[in-house]
Amino acid sequence: MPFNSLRAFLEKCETEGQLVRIKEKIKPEPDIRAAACAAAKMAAGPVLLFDNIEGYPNKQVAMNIHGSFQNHALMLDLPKETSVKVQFQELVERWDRYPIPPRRAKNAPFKEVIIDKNPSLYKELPLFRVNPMDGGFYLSKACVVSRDPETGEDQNLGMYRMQVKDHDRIGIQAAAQHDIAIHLRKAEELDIPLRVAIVVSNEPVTSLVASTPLHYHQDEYSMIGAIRGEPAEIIASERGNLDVPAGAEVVIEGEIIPRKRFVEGPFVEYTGYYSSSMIQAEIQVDLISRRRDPIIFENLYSGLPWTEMDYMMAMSTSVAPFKQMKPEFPELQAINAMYCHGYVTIISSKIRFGGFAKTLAMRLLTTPHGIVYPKFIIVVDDDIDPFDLQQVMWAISVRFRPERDLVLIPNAPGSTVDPAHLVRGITTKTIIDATRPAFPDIPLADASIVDVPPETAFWMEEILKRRK
Amino acid sequence: MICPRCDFLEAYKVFEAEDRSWEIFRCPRCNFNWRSTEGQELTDAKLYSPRFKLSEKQIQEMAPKPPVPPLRKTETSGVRERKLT
Repeated sequence: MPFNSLRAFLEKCETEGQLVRIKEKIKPEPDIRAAACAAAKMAAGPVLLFDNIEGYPNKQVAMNIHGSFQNHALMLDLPKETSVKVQFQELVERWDRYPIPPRRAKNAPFKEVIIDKNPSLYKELPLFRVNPMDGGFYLSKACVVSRDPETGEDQNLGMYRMQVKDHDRIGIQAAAQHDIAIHLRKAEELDIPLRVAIVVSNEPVTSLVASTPLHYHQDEYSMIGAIRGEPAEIIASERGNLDVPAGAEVVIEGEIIPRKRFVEGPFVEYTGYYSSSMIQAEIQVDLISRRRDPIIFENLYSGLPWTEMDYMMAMSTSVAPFKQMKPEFPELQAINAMYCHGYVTIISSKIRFGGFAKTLAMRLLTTPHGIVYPKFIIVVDDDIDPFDLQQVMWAISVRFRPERDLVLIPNAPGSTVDPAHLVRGITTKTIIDATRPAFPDIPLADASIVDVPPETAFWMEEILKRRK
Repeated sequence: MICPRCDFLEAYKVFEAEDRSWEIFRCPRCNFNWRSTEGQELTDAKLYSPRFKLSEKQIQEMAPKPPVPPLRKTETSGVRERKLT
């Protein structure tokens, strides 16, 4: 059964031995970040639930919700041992159920307490500094809902870093390639504020889809329905014309102040580096609605990879370009874009004819996510599992011919938070064709691969039996 | 109160825990927020890492993200009106 709230998912994790409660009194800093870092770096890292945070009575913090492939499998209602490749294939199949439109709920627990006079983020949320040199306390896992201000259509649900700067002010990073930046640009061209609803603590598929690079016109709620196999439950915001997930713990409403930018950051991005301070957009908060205490505040620890962020983004950055390319390229087998949001991306495919690997890599670079993020693309044959790096490295070792198979595309769009940039937002796209050359290209000199002995699987089981 | 990050003198207390176990301060110039219980290297302007210090000049020179677009021009119908004097 899909989960309708973060609370329902926490119960599931507890039953499965994937939740650890921290009942002792802890400090907001540095305890929460250090424990979250530890959980993400452990094998089968569990969800952490902090019950007793100094200075925040009646508030809990949940961390590492997506922070292992075991938790990720539970989110998809799969056995927790499900392999990464099977989870990828499962998501690919569920994607085809799109659209399953959302269902409108009559009530939502987060509507029980409504604060529309002098709302204070410091009071309502157990805030903490995620990394020591961050510019402030961040909402690093909240989802933001907005609509095209001109047409009233194209509602978007996305996840952007947000810095709490005052009782009722939040900085938001609306990078130019993100859908909210399109909404913001239109609002600013018209010189009107952009209405937003910030949704805190969601069931995990909501966060997964909010951080998935869908096409601009695709509806995230209908994709949440597709992935869950059951409609997402939504309810109207108190103000404006926005739909928010009914299972949320807290919803913060406000508007982005048009045509103004304010100091924001730094903040540790998915790269594991602090991004520099910039002047960014800011939200004036006018209303907070929330569940009755104790609320659960879910936040994301983004530190030195791998962290929860890498697990959460692993599949969304892999499945989205795969589904976007597959109709034109049915030869595609899988895409692994789980390294720093796809800075390094591995494509596995059958090869139609000589040079085809380059075609695939270049097509990746025209998908919504691929335009900016990938800078190092490895293409391998369909006999290579792109999620098995031993196999990928073997393919590069024996099939890559540097003089023919290395392509550099300079002065291409790049991530603005890539610490290796020379010009911010500009990169060189690198294509490594590690496929066997196909006709009419020159074939490999030694073309006979040795087979794995057919009895290997039998012997694996025999060895396992004797090992116990 | 001095902002540990940008040395602005008008930083102030913005919130206090109900049980008074800590206070939160904010700087109105660089938006830095800090809690009294964080280490001195975060709360003391003299000990704050020079790499992360912000000067007025740096703030003035920051690039906007995303850039602010030009205002949309009102569409003209081709008919011009003018005031008669």
